[in-house]
Amino acid sequence: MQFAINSIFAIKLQQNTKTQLRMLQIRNLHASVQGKEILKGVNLTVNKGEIHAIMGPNGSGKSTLSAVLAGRDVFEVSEGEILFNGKDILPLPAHERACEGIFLAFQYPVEIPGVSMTNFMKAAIDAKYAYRGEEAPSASEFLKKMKAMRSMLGLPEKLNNRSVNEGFSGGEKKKNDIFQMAMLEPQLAILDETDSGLDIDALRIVADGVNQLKHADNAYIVITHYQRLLDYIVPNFVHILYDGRIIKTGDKSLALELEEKGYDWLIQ
Amino acid sequence: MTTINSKQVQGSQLVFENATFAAQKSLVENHIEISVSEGVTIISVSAHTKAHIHILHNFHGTLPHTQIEIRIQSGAHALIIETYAVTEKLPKANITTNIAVGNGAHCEFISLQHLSEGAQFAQTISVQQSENSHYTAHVYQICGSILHSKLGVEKIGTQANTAIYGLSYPHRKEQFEFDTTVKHSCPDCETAENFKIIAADHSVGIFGGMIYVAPHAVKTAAQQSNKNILLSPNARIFSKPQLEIYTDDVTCNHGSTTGQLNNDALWYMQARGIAPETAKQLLIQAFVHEITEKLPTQELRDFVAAKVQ
Repeated sequence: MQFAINSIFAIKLQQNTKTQLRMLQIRNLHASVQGKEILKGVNLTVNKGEIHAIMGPNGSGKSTLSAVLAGRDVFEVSEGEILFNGKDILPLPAHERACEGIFLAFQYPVEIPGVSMTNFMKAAIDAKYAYRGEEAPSASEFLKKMKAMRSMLGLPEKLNNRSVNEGFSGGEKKKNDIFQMAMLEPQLAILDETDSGLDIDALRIVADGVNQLKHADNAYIVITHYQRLLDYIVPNFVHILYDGRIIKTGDKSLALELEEKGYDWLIQ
Repeated sequence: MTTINSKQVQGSQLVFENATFAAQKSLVENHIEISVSEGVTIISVSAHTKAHIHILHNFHGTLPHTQIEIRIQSGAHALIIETYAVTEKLPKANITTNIAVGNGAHCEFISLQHLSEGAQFAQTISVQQSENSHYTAHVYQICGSILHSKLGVEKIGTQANTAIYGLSYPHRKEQFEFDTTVKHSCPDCETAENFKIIAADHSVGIFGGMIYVAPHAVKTAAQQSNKNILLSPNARIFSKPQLEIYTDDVTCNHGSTTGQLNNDALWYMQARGIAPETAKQLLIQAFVHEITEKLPTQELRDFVAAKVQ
């Protein structure tokens, strides 16, 4: 009798842990832009501590998926749901999703002339803390963290007073996005082709930063065309997105296989 | 309406009650002379002195017409800040100011137009610049139903430099207008103009800018910029940049752009957790910064930044 109770308890405990581990659930997601359906039923579950890579040919919907997750309002979700920590986030506007802990590293980070990095970062940090009803860190704590994260990513000291991304090189822009991720400490980070336009050195710095920021409670979705990035940021799962659906899921070796054979063998 | 007070401008404070200089309410330093002749108040800053002057106009009757003549004698430096207070609900007022900037003199003139919502206000500032003089104007149109600033500058001596910065922020059904004419009548003079308009709601913003270069005014260097933002589909902006050049050997350029707040920048900020209203505010502050940073003191910059919300 004692044994039976114990085992039931153990099973319950296991189920609880599993639910607690589950961070993102995308179910049958359909999304369109200007009447054109791009996502045609995406299913994806991401647990805490995992790294998921999404690969796929051009126009398969990778960037749309990341923009829909982050809440860009030009996309219309016609079907399906997105649960983040069990909460339906589809009704939330983009800034609230960010405050919930979703971060999108842009394929093309935007230049904002006249808005300094310090003011931009401060506004973002203040918004996050205000959303959670917590007190934002003091100015000195904030600047200290800026400095630490800046040097981790090898960004210049004058970054603080420069306008957001204005006059930055392609590599600096990508580093700057990872810098913002380091400052905001999101639970789920979506890296949308962060490797595109990066030289080998910059790629290594960005990947090192991403790896340093990884811990058991957060997760990444890494969107990429190239297996090269996955040598540095090692995924637990590799998904192939094609024509708005995930058509195959595998482990890291799937990326290597793609590198060798291309997409044709999967599509046929 | 305005909260700029004498503490922010150390020096003289000149008060006008409905177009009439009120000597008892004013505080005039020694090196400033004031006289009234045929309805015109003449303010004279002695040669080679430094003056800080705050001119406060109190409007409470209908259609007061203030006439002021300011003479900055040679080698003098004058900083003049003009503010306006309105007590009646729907007043109309106008001010004509003639400024003569003497040889080697500096004049910085700041007009902060923050009147009541119903106020109709027209100002004409005509400046004559002698040799080696500097004139800098900062004109802010912030609140009033109709605000009209006619700004004229003529260079009557060589090497006279001019800088004019204007910011207009009409809301509701307000109609704000800048009408500027800079005449280069002498060689070797410089002009820089930078005007920005942000039009919200159903408002109208107007910029007219003429730079005239006379036949013998060689080596003129003039530039004019007018950048505008429409915050609503119902707001309107009219921009008319003009150059009239009658000589060679000059450097003149002008540019005018009108657009909306950058949607990609707004999206980027929202993706970082910044609410749309805050993101817009950051972009507006960034847009006006180029104008407000030219103000001579941090207090003035803060004052204007707080009004442009």
